[in-house]
Amino acid sequence: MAQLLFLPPLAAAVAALLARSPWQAALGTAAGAALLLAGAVLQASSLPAEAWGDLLRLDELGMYFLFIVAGVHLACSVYSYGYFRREMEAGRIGAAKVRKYHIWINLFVLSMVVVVSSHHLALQWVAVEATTLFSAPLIYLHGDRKGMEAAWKYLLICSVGIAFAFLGIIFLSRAAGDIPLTYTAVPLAAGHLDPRFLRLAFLFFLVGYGTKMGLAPMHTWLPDAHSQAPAPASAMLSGVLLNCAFLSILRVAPAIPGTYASPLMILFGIVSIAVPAFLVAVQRDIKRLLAFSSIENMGIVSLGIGFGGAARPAALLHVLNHSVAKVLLFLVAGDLILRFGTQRIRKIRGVLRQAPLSGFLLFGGILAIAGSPPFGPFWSEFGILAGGVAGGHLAVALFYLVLLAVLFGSFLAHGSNMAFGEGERNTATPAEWWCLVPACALLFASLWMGLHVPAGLYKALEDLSSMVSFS
Amino acid sequence: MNTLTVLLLLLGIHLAVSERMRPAIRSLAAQGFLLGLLPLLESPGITWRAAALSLATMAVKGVAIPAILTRAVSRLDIGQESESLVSTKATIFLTGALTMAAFVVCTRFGLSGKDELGAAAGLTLLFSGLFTMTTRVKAVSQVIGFVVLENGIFLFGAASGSEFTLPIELGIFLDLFVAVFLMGILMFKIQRAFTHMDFRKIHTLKD
Repeated sequence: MAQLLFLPPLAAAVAALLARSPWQAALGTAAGAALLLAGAVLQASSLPAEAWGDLLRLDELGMYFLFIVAGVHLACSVYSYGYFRREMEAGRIGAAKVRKYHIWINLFVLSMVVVVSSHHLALQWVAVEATTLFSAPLIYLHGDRKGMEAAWKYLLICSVGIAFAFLGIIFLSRAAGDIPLTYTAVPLAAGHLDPRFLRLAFLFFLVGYGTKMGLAPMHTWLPDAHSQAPAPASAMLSGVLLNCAFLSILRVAPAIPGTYASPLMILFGIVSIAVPAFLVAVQRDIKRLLAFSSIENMGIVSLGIGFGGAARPAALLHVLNHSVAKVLLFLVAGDLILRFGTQRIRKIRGVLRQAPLSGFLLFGGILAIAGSPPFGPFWSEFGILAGGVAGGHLAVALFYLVLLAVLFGSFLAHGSNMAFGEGERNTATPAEWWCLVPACALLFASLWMGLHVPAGLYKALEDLSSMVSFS
Repeated sequence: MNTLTVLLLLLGIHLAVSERMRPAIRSLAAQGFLLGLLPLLESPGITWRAAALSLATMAVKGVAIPAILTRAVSRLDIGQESESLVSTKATIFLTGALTMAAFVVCTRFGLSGKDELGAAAGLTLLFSGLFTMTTRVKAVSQVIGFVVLENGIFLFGAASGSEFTLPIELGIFLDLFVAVFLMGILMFKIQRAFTHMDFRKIHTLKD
């Protein structure tokens, strides 16, 4: 019954289309998000769920990613109510555009639900391309020139990237012959398939979906797109869309020989950590800072998959940890941007003094994303390091550690400047609880994942990691 | 079959080197129609599937996308020249080199399946589409390059004999159409934002 999960976002999109006011549309989005989460919980007990022949199959791995999509969507939809109310009060956006936001965000979520529940790899491709198309209007929602240029770059670069992924699908179908191109059938038959075409297919999957995932050096669209979208949309782009592209790469992994695929994942991973390590310190825009951190974290995740062994469940755990911390930070950044009237880091100063709760959330989020204990990302980053060392990748693991230390320093410097620094007072804006409550919940979740990784979750991830290991 | 491939290839080369927008768009439309014949030629008889695919290809690549691009060229004030970062001579030379490279890659690595010429031609279109996207300055030309790239992948896929169920194939066309449609909308919006900005600048100068 996996197709029933398409209904909540679809219904919420229709509701937004028919809504008489932006608030009705927001209510529809929030209800759709809650229903999606509830549906996912109900479905979780009967997996795998197949439907529509060999087109749909929601398994445990897809369900893990679906939970992240639904959870983040719920947090963002509650937040978006308060966020857009404030933007409308400030005259930065009109009611028609808020309605547009709710239409597109629900279609965007729908396309991601299709990505995680696709069985056929070509259907998955169609859905990944659809995520680009449905999220592009969110990037130029405000209708300013920068947003449109960012959306243009996003559409063009990601469409070309996805086109390369389609070349990967063509190679895979060359290798597979009459075998259906599903993520279950292809790995089963992988031993009999032409390894040359399998390797080519993986290379193009990695470059193509890697573009969408934000892996360096194909990441150039990402900082523009993620900094121009309104805060809740940025959070969704960074927090869940990148994961969906990552899942699309993982789906072919079991068919590919590890001797070929692991070094590639390690290479793209370490480059994607190294590029932000040089650029985070000099960022001047708070949302671009967070966008570069997303590139870094996608690098960490693919490094973990490349290391294999014990690093693999840690990489899957890091997907969740990154989503929680990054969404938290984008939500707080949206609050700060409205409060200070600027995205420039240099102008955002003394947050802790002027808005204690926002400052607390900001500093907590920065600590979490920098990989400091006691937050969740510390454990998953450490797990990947340990897995790398245990797997004999000593030099790469050491380099990874150095880069993490550099990034930790840069984030801490930015974070403490914004939280504690001295700057001009902004006009006192009252706290908006619709914005702060979801952020508090996310900070609590990140802390909880750091103090006590749920044993059941870790066990489940270890089971899942056998589904994403190379052959 | 081979005649069709050669025609597609020639149109592709014309697209890569042409200096003006309208002839390029006409070539793109012709390429779309020819690609639409592929499913009919490949299937043993005229099946519903082949007819639907052929119709979808012609509607999207032969009619809808060229219409969007023509509208953009005539409504946007961008002129007829498709400006390039490299000279026409260099473009002709590089396109020839890319064509050679595509044929070498195809035969050397044994990528081509049942239809060797088709695979090589598809790869050529892919390369020249990428080349157009990176060297042409104007937005319309970049979209043309993107569609040529997609056509190349389509041809390469057909030559490798990869086919999917009808809903997926139609989904692929829908994606391509919506992508170009959105690019078209963005071109208009960016243009409007530019003039709006200019208008404001004049306004502030008067104050």
